[in-house]
Amino acid sequence: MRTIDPAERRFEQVYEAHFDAIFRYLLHRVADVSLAEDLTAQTFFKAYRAFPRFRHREGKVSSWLYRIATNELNSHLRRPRTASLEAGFGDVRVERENAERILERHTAFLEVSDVLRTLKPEDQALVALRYFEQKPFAEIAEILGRSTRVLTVRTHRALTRLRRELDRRGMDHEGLRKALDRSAEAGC
Amino acid sequence: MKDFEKLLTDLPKPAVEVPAFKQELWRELQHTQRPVHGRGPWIALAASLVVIVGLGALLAAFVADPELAASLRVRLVGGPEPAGIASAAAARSVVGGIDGSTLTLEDVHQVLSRTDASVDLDRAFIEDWSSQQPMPVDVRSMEAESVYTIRKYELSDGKHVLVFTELGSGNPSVRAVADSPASTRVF
Repeated sequence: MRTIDPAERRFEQVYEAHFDAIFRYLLHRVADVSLAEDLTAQTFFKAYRAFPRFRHREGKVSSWLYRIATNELNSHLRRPRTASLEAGFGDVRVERENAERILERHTAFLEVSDVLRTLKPEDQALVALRYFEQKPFAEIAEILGRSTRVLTVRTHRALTRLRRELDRRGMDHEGLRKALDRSAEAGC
Repeated sequence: MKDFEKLLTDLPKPAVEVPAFKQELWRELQHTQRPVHGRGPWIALAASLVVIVGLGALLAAFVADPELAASLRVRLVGGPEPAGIASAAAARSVVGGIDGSTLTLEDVHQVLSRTDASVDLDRAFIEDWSSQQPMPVDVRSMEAESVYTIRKYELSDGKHVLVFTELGSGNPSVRAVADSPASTRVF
């Protein structure tokens, strides 16, 4: 019979508590269910191996997980890889198809997400963590390893670039508002 | 900008949940072999200690034997024949008589078939010697000079045999025998 050591039990609690948030963050960043699953798996594989060395005094465990997820995503952006996990069977496959259908309905989000990916990876992470995951600057600073002062200035610049690019694509403020209303009507 | 920030915050995001995938991934994680906590740093510490002790021993050897550096240089750059050849010659010379006279030319020739000499070391030696002479001594270029190798063999009775050979001649001969390790008499 397999014995479970205390570290593994603690990691199971961490996994249960943070899996959904990490998966959603990655899905919001990449807007692709399979890729988000793959990156989530890589994030938790790394976290699982490194967990015995994690010290709580270094920060919150959620910030640590978001940091690993962001690094995995940045690595993927530098060297795109094909999904390492199997395509999935049965429940997982059905669940993935449902998730893709939900994602497709969020047209306004998909358009913004598409424009967001034209920014630098760190700016993408900053905007996603601040406005999609609604994290406070103090926590984003912990995740990205930057001071809050730097992040405040950088956020302003990132938003200016994002807005300019949305305008260029014909999605000005009013257009975005209408798309948002359409999303609300569609029950998103 | 505030409106834009609010718009981004209010933007409906896909609230997707994947419980089946979550369960499958947890099963995969449990099959992963996690490295044993704490072993890595101990291995690194042990390796570091081994390296430090090794370097310390090397330093102590150099302090204890000041000739070590010179002898290592001679061995690496060139000079006396490898110990294997010397001991082979010594083993053969044991068969001979007390003054080495029975050390046959064939025996020595076999050992000296590999004639090599470091001209650079010879030149450095002569220049060093000439610099210590009371009167200036000119040292002619060794190029186009005859170059000899001189090898020393220890006999089983403690006597030394010096053999020198003109390079290229392939005709070695016994030239000197020492009565004791302390003094060498040149014939």
